Amino acid sequence: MRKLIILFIVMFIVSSVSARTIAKGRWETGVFGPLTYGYSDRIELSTHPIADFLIPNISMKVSHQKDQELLIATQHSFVYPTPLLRTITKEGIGGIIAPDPTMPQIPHMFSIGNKILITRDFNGCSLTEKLGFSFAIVTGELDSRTTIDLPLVFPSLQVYYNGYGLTYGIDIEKSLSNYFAVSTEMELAMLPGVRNSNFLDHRSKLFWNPSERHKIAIGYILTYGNYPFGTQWHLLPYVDYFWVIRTGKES
Amino acid sequence: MRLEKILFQILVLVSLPFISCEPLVTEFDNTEDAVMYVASEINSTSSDPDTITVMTWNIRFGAGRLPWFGDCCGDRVILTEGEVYGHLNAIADKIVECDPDIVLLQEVDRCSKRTDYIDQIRWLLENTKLNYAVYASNWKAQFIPSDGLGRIDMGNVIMSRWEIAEAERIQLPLRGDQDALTQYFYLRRNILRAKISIPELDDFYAVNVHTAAFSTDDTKLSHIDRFKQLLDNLSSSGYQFVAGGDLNELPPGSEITDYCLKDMCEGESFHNPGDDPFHKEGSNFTDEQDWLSPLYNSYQSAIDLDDYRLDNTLYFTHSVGPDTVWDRKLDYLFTNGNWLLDLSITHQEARHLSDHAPVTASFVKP
Repeated sequence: MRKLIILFIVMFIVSSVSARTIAKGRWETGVFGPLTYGYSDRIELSTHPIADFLIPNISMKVSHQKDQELLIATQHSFVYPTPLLRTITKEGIGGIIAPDPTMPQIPHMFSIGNKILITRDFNGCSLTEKLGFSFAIVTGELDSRTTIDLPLVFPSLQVYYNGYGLTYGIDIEKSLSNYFAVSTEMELAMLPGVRNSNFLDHRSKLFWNPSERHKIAIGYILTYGNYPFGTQWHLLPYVDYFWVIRTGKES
Repeated sequence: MRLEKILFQILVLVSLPFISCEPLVTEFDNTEDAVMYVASEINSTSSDPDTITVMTWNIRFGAGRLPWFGDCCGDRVILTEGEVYGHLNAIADKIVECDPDIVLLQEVDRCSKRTDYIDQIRWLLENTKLNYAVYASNWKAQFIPSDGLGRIDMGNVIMSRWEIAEAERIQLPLRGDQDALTQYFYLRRNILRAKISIPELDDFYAVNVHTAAFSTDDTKLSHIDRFKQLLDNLSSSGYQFVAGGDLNELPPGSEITDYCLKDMCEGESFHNPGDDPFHKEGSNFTDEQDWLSPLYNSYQSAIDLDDYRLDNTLYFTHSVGPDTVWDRKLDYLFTNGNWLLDLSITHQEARHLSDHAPVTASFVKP
């Protein structure tokens, strides 16, 4: 279990969001995507249950406006990565962070992310703008040598080293038929106050809904970022399978 | 535990290639062009030198004598920027003091997490009087998922005052005594051959090698044989060369050939009934005593074998980890021309800069 580090962290990054919330009482999940529950018509809760053992996390989306043309929601998340990062600080195979005696133990730390999501439907498309601010509380010294210098993983953990970060993104989704939809999105992550610390993700996905309860997504993630060793592009595949555990009651 | 290891190996193999379209570990062709470097400011060089001073030095990636986990029972993995620059400064000072024309370096990092991603080749070029360099990676991976090593790029370097006309990385056989997964993430050793444009000296080559250190089969012997073969080819083609590096082997006739007990880490046991392995990897040379004889028989060594046999200790170039008393010779310079033997020096005074001592010698220009 503890050796699923990369998958765990990537899970938090690949799931896209809009200002829509799922129906009250509805449960759905994905292989890599989160388990999502419609707590009410306005509130949606989600978490990555497998990852919760090592990286407790929860996210709440609150719908503030459910207008026909404009949907506005905010999303608030909490992540506590310390147990996972401590687990992978080890000698030998699976040691992702060095157990160097000159590096202090990973401190207790957590991050709180906040996003405003605005979704507008037009011409059969759904456009979502996302503006996010996250901050981290770190209770001790976090040595800069503990970074995991991999695409997706490195930028997602930077908030703990910098204290806060900003994101801005746009997501366009279009339904092609009853069975197929496509989406493309772009997200820029910035660490204000740190030189050369911008990360750009572009993702495109094709969704296939063979039934109302099942959805398969396939696509790619193109990332650009400033890593400690220089600037790099990475092209990564994306595959996920989502299913509805229990349908809720549409309002 | 065994099942867990197998499952993890499967997971690594299946999932990590998908982390990027860039290969997780860089594999190399049998021969490739080396990576070229030019100093930002070119220092003046002698237009027609009588002798060419050559140095070989395994600089241990600027770790000095720190107890690094991989080679000396240590526990350090990721060095600080200050530690690396401190050692690099001292190494550069030593190179400037010895004033070589050509330098063969082993274990040089250029984009490794363990050494703060410092391009040590670029740094040494800018901080010595050498003007050109070529690099051939021994170990290049965007992520080593073990011990927190992370990204790594380490290899052999040839630096020169004079322009390097061409340079080639020649792949050596991989270790044959490792399982497939370990081998995939492990070193890919090479010979680095560079043609150097020295005035009034046509077809002059410098050759640098760092052979297997810890193999328990015949991998190291095959590396030495390939090195010798390459030198034979240069020689038979009528070319002049200086060649050397860290051969991880003792000269023939060494008085001590088994360092297992000396190199033993806490909790290890060797040479006792039931010990498995019976010898420490890389520390027992007893069955390898004649592996360098063909090189000594064919080419002139910077340190004469008879001198070495008179007193081994004067020519030792290595000791493990924090132990700063040299206890074995692993580093060599050979030529098919002539050295000024009186000027060959094993710089044993440089005991804190690396776990290897530099060796310098003066090649007599024909």
